[in-house]
Amino acid sequence: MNGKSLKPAGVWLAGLFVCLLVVSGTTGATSVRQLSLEELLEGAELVFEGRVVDIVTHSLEAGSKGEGGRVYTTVTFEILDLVKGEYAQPTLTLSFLGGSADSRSLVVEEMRLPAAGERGIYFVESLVRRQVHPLYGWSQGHFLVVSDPDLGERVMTADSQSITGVQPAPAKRPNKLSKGVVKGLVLESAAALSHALTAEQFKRTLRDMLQQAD
Amino acid sequence: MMRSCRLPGLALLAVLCAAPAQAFQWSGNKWPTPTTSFHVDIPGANGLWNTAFQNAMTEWAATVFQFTLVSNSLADPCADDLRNGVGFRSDVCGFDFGSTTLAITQTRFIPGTPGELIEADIIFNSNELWDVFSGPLTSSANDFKRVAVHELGHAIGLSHEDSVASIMATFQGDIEVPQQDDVSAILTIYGGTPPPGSCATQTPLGVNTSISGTITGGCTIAQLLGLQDNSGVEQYLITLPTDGRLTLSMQSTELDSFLWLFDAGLSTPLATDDDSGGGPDGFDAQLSLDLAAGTYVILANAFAPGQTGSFTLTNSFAPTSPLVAAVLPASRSVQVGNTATAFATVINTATVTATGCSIAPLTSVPASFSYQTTDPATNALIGTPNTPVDIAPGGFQSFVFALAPTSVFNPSDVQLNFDCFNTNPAPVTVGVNTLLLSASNTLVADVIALAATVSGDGVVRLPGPSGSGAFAVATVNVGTADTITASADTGSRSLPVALSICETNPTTGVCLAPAAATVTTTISNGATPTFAIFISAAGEVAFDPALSRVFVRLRDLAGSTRGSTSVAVTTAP
Repeated sequence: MNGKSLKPAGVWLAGLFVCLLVVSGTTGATSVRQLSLEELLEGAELVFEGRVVDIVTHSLEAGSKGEGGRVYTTVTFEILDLVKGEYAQPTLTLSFLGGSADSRSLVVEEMRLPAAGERGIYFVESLVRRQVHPLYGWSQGHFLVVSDPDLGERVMTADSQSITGVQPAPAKRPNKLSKGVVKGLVLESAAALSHALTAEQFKRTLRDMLQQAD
Repeated sequence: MMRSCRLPGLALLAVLCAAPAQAFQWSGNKWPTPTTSFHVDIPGANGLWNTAFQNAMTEWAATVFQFTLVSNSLADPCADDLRNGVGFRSDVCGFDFGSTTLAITQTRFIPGTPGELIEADIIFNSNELWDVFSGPLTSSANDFKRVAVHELGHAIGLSHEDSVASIMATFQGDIEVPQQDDVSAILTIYGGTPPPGSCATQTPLGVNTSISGTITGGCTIAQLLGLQDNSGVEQYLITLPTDGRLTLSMQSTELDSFLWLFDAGLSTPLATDDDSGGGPDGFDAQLSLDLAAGTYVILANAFAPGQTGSFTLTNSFAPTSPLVAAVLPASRSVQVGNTATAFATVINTATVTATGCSIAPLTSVPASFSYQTTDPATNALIGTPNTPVDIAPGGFQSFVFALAPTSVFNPSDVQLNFDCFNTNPAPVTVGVNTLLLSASNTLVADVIALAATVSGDGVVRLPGPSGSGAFAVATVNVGTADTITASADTGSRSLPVALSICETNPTTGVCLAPAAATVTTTISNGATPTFAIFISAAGEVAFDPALSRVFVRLRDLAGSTRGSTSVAVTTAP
């Protein structure tokens, strides 16, 4: 169906909204501020290692003029280890704007939702507010823990670059936009997984940074 | 106009520009036609946001995609109403921005291949501090316009692109306007003909042509190269069929010309020039360099932002040849009915035999022409008149050629075509392989002049940019006696050197009088006066023997040149 095939005036507008809701998708794109690893640690309310155990997409009803109708996705994590913050429950559910539900689609570009079964280290900005992206700095607060039979558990960025080290970032930065990866990491390609920090090394580094900040 | 800080230098520029030419990302969705309207009514700041957003829309006008404005009309960015809206909100339609999200673009589309865009809404985070400014990003506020240009790119259908200079870079940095990659991306997605003067337009040029153009400002250096330079630019493509020397000149009486030469992908800057072309105001640009066969991009650029106007872009191309040639003497003056002769030597630097090599005049003068090979050891004629010969690899051939004037003409530099069947012609260098020839009704002075340098190779090497040197000129007058004034100059090229000349004792080489700008003497038939020429550098002189030369001219009282010779000069070791 083509969205330009409109009904006669008077009744077509409301019908068009319904029609487009059924057949159309939505994409989004963002400008996200770049963060340093120190800022990421400081700004996140909760930092944990976890595993994705459930993903569900939901649809919010639109208002009479079409406003507010949005699709969002909840991701439930099994908490494996806490690095920062307090959280007593065994699982945590976070909401991400976007997804597909009831023939409606909302795809937010640059939003990399955690995948089913994924294991990672996650920096949650707020446990209270429902955000466009609940991870602090979007993919900057999203790290993967990759298990390799020979290398053990190694840490990668959300776009699968091996994290081989951590280096201090300048204290004062202009408001530059995120390139998807937090500043302050030493990175190599995915092929250099053997050089990557282990999950324990990375978490220990984060905890050391937290202690120094205190 | 001289500029002190416009360019970061070619080396740095090469780094800045050394990126793939095109690497855009597409969301997979597009508008049915390359245009859409935005309802813009952003309250606050006395219209600053409205103006900045409109300006951001205008930045995309250099592409084939056009945004149109519906002013003073509010479209709720959170309403699915088929109207493109923009505004500040403290949330994204019920979802918190979070502390790092500055703005978001939501586009709705009808699924397909490609998907058909039907609505785009841009929401700015009102919890952030916003301003409108150019230049480097600051830590105090976000630049509204820069983010708007970026988000409008998403509204067009572009995705983030980090591998080349692009306004769609996620790490936005100091790029403020759409770049060449963005322009190319939209052209690829939407097709069509780019607007005149846009960054998507590259006009093909033939070699050895001249073209008139206009800088409108529709494309800027900032858009094209990602540099912080909003001066207007026009792009031209030239394809060189063989290796050779390309000379470009950009002349204008309406703007300060500036030339750039790039490789075909606009990734490697090869040369730039501001004012070397001189011109009426001294603001014309000119550059010349040796290039391999291939395609290149010429940028005809205004020196400063805001300068617009017409210009003429001229290119001349001299194919590289394995042949080099020289002529002695450099001038002759004869009576009509007599014949002027001179010797020529042609060297074949190739590794294969140059076949069928001949000489022919390129300059039209009223004189018959002939040539014949000679024995280089004796200068005796050998071979057959006007018959081409082969020249062995690395070998040379000497010739004598003759011009027999049929009517009177003033001194003219007769250019000669030293060419073989399987090569390009030898490059023409005035004073090296041309003959300054004149013909008169009566016998006149005809001074054969020969220069000698210390190194014996025809090059005066000055010891540094403030160094001095000298060379000698021996002459013989094979014409009638006359009063001759000798002087020295650098020909058509301005060089940072001071020149003086004196007549010398042929035996001792000592000046007969202090050196001066000129020296006048009477030269009888058969006389052999000698001269010394002194050169003082006042700056660097590159080793460019074809163009950096000092000429000695011997003129009669009427100013006609009756003898000349030249040497190359350089401050290079």
